Amino acid sequence: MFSYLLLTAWRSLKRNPFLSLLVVVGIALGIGVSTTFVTAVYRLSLHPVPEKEDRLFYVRMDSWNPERPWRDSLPDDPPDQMTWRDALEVTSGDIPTHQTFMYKAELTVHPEDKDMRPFRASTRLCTNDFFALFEVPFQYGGPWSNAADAAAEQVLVLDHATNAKMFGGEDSVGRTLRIEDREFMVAGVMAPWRPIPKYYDTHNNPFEDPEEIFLPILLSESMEINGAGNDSNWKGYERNEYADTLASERIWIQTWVQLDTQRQKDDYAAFLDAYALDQRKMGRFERPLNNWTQETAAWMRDQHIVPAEAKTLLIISLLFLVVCSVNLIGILLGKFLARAPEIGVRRALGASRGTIFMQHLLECEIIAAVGGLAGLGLSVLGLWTIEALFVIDLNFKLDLNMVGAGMLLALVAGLLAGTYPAYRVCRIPPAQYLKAQ
Amino acid sequence: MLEMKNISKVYRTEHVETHALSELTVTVEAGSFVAVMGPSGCGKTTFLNTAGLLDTFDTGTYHLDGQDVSKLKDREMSRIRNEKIGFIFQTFNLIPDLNVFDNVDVPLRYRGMPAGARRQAIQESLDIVGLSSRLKHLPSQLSGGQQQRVAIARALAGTPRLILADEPTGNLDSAMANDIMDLLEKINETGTTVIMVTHDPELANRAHRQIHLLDGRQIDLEMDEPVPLAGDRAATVGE
Amino acid sequence: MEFGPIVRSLFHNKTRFWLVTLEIALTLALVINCAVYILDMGSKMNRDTGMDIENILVVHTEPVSPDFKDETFLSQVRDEDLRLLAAQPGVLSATAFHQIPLSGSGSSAGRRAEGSDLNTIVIPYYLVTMNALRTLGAELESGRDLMASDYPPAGQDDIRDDDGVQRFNVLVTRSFADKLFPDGDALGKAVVNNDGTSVQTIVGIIKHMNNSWPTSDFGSDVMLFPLKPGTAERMRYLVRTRPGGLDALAATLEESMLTTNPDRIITLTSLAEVRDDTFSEDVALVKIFGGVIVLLFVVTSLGIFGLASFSVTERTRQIGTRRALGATRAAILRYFLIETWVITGIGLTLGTGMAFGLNMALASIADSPRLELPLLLTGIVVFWLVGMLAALLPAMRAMMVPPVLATRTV
Repeated sequence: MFSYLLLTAWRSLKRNPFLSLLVVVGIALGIGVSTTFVTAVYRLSLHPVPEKEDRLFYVRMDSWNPERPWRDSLPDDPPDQMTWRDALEVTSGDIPTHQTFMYKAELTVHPEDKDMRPFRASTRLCTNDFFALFEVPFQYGGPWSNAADAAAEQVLVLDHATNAKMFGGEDSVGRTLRIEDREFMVAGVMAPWRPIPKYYDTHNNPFEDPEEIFLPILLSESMEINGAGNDSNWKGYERNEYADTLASERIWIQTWVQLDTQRQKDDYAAFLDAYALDQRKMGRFERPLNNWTQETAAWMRDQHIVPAEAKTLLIISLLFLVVCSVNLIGILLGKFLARAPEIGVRRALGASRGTIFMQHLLECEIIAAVGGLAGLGLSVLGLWTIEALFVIDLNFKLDLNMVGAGMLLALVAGLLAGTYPAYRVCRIPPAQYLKAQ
Repeated sequence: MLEMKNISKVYRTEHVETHALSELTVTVEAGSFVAVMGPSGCGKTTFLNTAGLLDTFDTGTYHLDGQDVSKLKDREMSRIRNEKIGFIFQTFNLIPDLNVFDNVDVPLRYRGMPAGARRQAIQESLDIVGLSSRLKHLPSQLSGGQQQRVAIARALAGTPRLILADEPTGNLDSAMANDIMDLLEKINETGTTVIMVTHDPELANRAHRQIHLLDGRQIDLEMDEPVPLAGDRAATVGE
Repeated sequence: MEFGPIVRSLFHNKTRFWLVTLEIALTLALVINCAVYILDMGSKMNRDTGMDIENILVVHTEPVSPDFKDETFLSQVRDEDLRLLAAQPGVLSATAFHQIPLSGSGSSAGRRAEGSDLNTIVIPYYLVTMNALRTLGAELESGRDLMASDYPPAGQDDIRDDDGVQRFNVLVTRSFADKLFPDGDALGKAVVNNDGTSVQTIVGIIKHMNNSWPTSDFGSDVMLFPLKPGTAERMRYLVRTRPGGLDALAATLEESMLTTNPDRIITLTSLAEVRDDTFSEDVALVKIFGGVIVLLFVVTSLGIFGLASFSVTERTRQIGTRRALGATRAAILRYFLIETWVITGIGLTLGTGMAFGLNMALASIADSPRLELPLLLTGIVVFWLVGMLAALLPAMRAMMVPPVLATRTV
């Protein structure tokens, strides 16, 4: 019976190919546009390290101006970065499983090959726990040692592309690289790694590549490396030496901790508050105690990783699908009712209402399925377009999830759109169209 | 009123050539009531379509109300249909979405009459068919006889010189059919020419004159001696 | 002409007409709300920057030698560079900037009017060498330009009074001046930072120029500071050429600058490119919203086309009858066009309400720009035309239905 219904539905689609095409195009556009934006927003709001969703925390402390909050529009929020001195202190304890403090800079690399011009490399200064904290994969070697961190040794970790550029992609562990006026030894080479967004530091461009070079952060003190990210300052200071900046109230350092247990969370929160109160005795931290260990997802929301326009487009694209479904109902109704005499004959020949209903619903679902497939194709084009227009990598895959979601959306739309027309057509009384007019 | 000379019309499909009308010559005097008869496929409807300028013909000449209508443009033919001819169809052809008043109004709208004149004409013609109390009814709310009376009112509203009726009683039972015939006679008495296609000899007998068609030609028959026609009523249903 | 009967006929049990009406209404609401974004972004992008951006070359230099950590060396190179740049053929003026206007990255400070209790407001500022206004092509409205005497004396990097308070003469834009001095008497007045350790006297007011964030609501607030910019990491210059001279300058400039000092990486872009880069995301969004509008029109045109087609197919016999009753071809065409016109009209009326509703909803969720009436009216007119076009083909098919169909049984 089912196969007969399927056959009938297929024949009826073939009978008016132009109309069927119209309907398929309509539903394909709806699915294409909506899955494009659903996928884009989904990719953007995906947790970058799902397995550490509730264990990775961004640290924010309110060391700001006693006179006014960091942001007038967000009076309850502590600043989004930390001072050097505070970051250094709050990552020196042993409560978190992993912890690091860091900032972004640009340094000049002087290749040994004299044919290559010196170039500026984006550089992250951090502690060696950065790599464990963010689960950075290594191709060769690994992070530098704790001792290297403590002694600010001249060691580095290279990203995959820069190792390819400087060392032809070979195992370069132990080899040296000249940065600014110093020689550095390669401790490790990262495997290709591209978190989307670049959640560990989203300040300038949340979708840029990770840095090319990673150095022990305490090198800053001797190399006097200025930051290349955002910084803000509420309290002027006399800057005679680099150390003045490190001692100032300038905020420019990002601090992350991994807290695996509730106990760690409680202890660390208490630790931060104790530190702040301690600092207050020295005339700092005069604002009300407001120290956050913020979950990554909440921090990403504060950083507006999913822009407001993306939400608007998501809503508009879902309403677009509604428009397409309404369009579908209208066309199906016309298509089905135009067939009333045939239905009259079928009914007279013994087809029950249920059979007629099923036949037409099936026809809708065939349309929806074909439209859904075409729509998925369109959404791949759409996502490519978005990637090209915004120069970002959404790293989307036309995987089972996306195909499943797109097809489900299509079939539900087909079901919703097809029910009323199928109902109307099955209510056609058999007698009416049998008489000659 | 109507003067056709040597009218021929051929329908061609890929394999078949059908001579719907061949060398047909017919004259209908103004004010007469003519019944057109003939077996199924004899060209009755083609004759009516041609007479009513619904369809063109291949050769011959046709004068309607003294005017040569052989080579008119579509727009001019539309105007003649609208002003000089009233149509009554076997299946009534009322517009299902429009109520009685609006249905009768249709040809008057195309004539571009002012609203007041239209309302008066509609009222008068519905009075004639006895349906002036049903202005707001939709066709689906009326019986077949009533529907055909609305159709007649629609044909009359434009005060045509010629009424063309195509099997006007074909879809009605005999009592209703009689009513309709009475109405057509009444209209004819006011001086309007009526040409009616029918296959019912009894109804045809109520006309002043009968024209018999066979294979697209007129054949002469004695008025008082109707020949039994090929095919009965059942066979012509669906023609 | 036969408006009344068409409308009355529409209202009889026509689910499909209502569906298309709903579709049109929704589409209008969506189209208008997409267009709101496009217009908003367009107006931001087309705003006058107050600068001669087509003829300004941006020169980035990134020193790769530790020599530049020496302040004296650094300022020596800067002076040489400025001399070299100014001497290039076709160059009107060259100035060193610590950040580039329109680039999306810059510095800002908090300032309030001296002696007033008005709040501190954020003011983007630029450290500049001499002739900044001439280089930018910005217009001085009142007061005077910065002079050599406004700068710290050689060997000093600051000007402080006896109490250790930093004191500078500065230029500000009219837009910023009016925020701190609403009476319009900013010239000669002073602005101070929060704790009073830095005081700036306004010696000139710039008519208008954009800062690094042209689309922000403080996009025209600028303060120009007489402090010579440049660090061991980077030095930036703006160079204004005579109209059309930019490409010729860019072709040879890198080489001549490397001759003065080879230990640096030099990048050249035009200020227009810098602006386009800053706007690239907005441009991308405009394209996406535009694309969605086009697709919406496509789908809804299909809907209107489909409806009109069925409407014609279903009424073929009726059309024949009308033709028999004297309707001309033109009358039939008109009938179907009027029908679409009415449906579209009802849809657009409903859609107007929905457009405002959606606008308010989006404004509360995603801070969307407000919907203005002229845009809505334009949308309605365009939509009406699109609707008529979509219905034209089926209406023409109706027009060709022969009158003889009226007498055909079945």
